Amino acid sequence: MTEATTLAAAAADRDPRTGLRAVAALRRLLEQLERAQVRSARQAGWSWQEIATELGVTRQAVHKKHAGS
Amino acid sequence: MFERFTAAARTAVTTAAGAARAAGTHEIDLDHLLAALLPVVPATGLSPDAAGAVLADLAAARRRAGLSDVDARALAELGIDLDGVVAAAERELGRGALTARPRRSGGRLRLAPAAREALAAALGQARALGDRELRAEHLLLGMLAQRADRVPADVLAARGVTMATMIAALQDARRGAA
Repeated sequence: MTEATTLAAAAADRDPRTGLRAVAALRRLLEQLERAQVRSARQAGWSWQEIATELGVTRQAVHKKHAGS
Repeated sequence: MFERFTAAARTAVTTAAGAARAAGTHEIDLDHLLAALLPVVPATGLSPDAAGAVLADLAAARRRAGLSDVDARALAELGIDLDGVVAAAERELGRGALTARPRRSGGRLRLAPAAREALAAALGQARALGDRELRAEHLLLGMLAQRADRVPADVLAARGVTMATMIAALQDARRGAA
């Protein structure tokens, strides 16, 4: 087999489901990581504004998402 | 919704509600339902030990951000070591840092969204199988059918329990009874 046909066969073997699944899994992992880190920062006395600045989002966004959790 | 439930199906939901309350949450989730259903649904073909292992697998998956082995393999394809990430987070933030928890922790006891979907899917499964009553078996099928939380289905599949094996077992049981 030439390199091109080997590559084509490998590409055909790839199941799009695995890649999509990885994206969904990564999103859930990210959500849990964010929740854990925000909780930890709050316990360490950080303000919502300080947390928002580090996360690169607005204070309102981070407060709405994490206040009470 | 509950009027067509058999006594066993009702008991399973009540047991799940008790487990949720005992765990200090206000949401009945799929984990509570599954723990209540496995002992009363012989169609899974799981021994009590194997059923215990399924619940342990599920708890382990919840601890790593609610991700199953299928998710872990998909992440590994990207070069992400899920267990490594979880271990690092737990070292920094404490044991169970990435445990996927129900968000709600107050108010009236209610079904988590995925559990609600499982119940709706269970009604559909009962209808599709031509059953007038909603049995514990249908609840488990509904749990496998719903798409909101795939972790219980993944964990069961890893132990050989799928929609297809369940339906085959139910049809065998029915043929045996007829």
